[in-house]
Amino acid sequence: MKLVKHAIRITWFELASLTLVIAIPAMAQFSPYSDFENMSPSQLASLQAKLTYGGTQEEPISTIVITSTNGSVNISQFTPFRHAGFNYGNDALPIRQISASTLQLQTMLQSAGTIPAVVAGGVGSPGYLSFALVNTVSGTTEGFEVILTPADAISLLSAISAALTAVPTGQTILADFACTTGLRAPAVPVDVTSAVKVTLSGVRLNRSTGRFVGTATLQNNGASALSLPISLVMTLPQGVTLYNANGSTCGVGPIGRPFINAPLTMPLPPGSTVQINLDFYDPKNLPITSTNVVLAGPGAR
Amino acid sequence: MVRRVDLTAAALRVCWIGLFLISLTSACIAQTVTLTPTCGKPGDTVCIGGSGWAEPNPLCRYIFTMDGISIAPDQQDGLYGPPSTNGIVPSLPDGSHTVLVQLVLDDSSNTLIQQQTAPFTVSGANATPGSATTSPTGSASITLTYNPSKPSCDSSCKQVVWVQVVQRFARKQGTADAQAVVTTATDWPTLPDSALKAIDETPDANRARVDRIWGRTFPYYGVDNSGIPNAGGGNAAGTITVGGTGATPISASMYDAPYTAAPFPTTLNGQSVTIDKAILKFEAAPFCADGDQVGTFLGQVVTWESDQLVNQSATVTNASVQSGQPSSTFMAALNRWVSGNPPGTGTNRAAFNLPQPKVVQCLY
Repeated sequence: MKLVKHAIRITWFELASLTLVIAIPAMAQFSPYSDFENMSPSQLASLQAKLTYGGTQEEPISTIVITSTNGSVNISQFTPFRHAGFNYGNDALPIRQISASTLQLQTMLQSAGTIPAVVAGGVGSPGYLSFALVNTVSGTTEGFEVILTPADAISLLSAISAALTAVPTGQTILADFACTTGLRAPAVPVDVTSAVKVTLSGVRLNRSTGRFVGTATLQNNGASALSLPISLVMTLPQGVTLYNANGSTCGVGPIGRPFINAPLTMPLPPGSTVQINLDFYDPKNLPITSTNVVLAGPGAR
Repeated sequence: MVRRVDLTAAALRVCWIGLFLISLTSACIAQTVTLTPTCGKPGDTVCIGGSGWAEPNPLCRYIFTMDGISIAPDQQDGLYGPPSTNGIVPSLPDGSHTVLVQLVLDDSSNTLIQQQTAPFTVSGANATPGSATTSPTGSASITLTYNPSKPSCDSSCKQVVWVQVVQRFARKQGTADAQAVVTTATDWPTLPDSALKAIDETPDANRARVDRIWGRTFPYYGVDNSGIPNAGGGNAAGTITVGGTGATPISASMYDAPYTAAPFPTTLNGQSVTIDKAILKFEAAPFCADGDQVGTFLGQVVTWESDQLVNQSATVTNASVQSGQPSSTFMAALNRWVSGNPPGTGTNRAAFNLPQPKVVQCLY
């Protein structure tokens, strides 16, 4: 803990005080957010970033911990850095881990750092989401936590998702978390189905996985570029699932359908095409057909 | 009644008669017997069918036995074609048994024309219903567990899941719990997707709805949109274990930890109120999603509550396990959920095809 580095010249009184602080972990000192923003990529190798939903729930929602690619989850490290009055019950469930590179973690911290409520720390009201950071560098453990209101929580989730665009499993986990907590971005993506030609081709069995792979080609036949992200929403036969989906729809109809985002970093110009690799789980070998919807632009799918 | 047929030269005689008796053109073609189901307890009905059987002109009939015990009346051939009848599983010990179907001439010696067998498992003669348990109350969470008893058949239920229905009550300050009033989801300002969940409520005084996160396409508690895990598996959140019967029964469990964040409702039915306690009343029941018992509730019902004072922790209380089927309120909520939501932006969840019980109905 950060307190340790201040405890070099200790008196008996200070020792007693330190003991008291250690015995009451909830009183550990929070580090400022900037401490984490200023950490180098190598220092971020041991970073843990935690998202805990603490709002109203009728079905538990497991916590997310984001680590470096080689990092591991140690949920107990967050315990000393908790605010009173928040419901941390979901931390007791199995953790959903997202692994990212240290550069991606740095981008995430910087992106989240653009949200004033995050940088300010403290407890928002009503508090729905705990965003906590913990890292041990050179033997010193620093911790940070902010309890965010729904609006700020949505901003944070969007920022994290944008920073981890290149982490597909992270996208899936974050999309599901936003869906199940109701912390979805209020923006609604545009239904561009009528302007996009979707062609499904090359569906074949991948013998190494036992799943079917294929390609969806999206061609922009409209007059303007399609904003990112571009999502293909598929309605598949019952019994067929899209194994590499980025999530399932909960913000726009049709509800509960798998969607996958096009691998683009720039808007799709008119006349251009993009291919999406598809991976289907089809244990009954049903014909793979799909009714498709294409969504473009920000907002919850 | 026990049928005794001379089988000594049956195998040779099948082809011999096939060659020389009139119209026995398919006598050497392999005939099959199909049983539905292939496992059951004494007294159960089993459908017997088949294909590839001879259709001789002489008067013939089928004889059906299980380990030599007649299980169905003789069936006249020619009138109904291949074997197609229903039998009753006789009183036999648990284990593997053999159903024998014989096509014989209607003569004094029951001359055998064709025969075929199919295995049938008798099991569950001593089976007792499964039981449900709950974790101790008094904390903020609860675990419900359905323990299948001695398996009746390996395939009787491949996937046991839980269905849970919730009602939200609000206690007005200064009143007793018993006077708490039922509310709608939109009364609670911190309940995610409350407007969408309100659509799932029964449109009556009960305001009951299936307890599911918005966006899920299965009504089964904890099952995400990727589908029902196999028995022994669970969801990513770790809140369920799918159960199953079989050689090694697997318990089906669900974990819940409801919580209602402040503020509580300040108006109910247009009137200003001070609500100091949220009371969530749950009814949960294990359900068979696949297998011979598909589409049936498994005879146990758990009711429980989660009580919470404003800005306090929730406490699970009043948990009770009963034998029987879910209440009419429960079923009304489930039926409403599976019918889907009305079309409209963000609300058009498709109807869900709730599995229906298998009907043992023989085509004859």
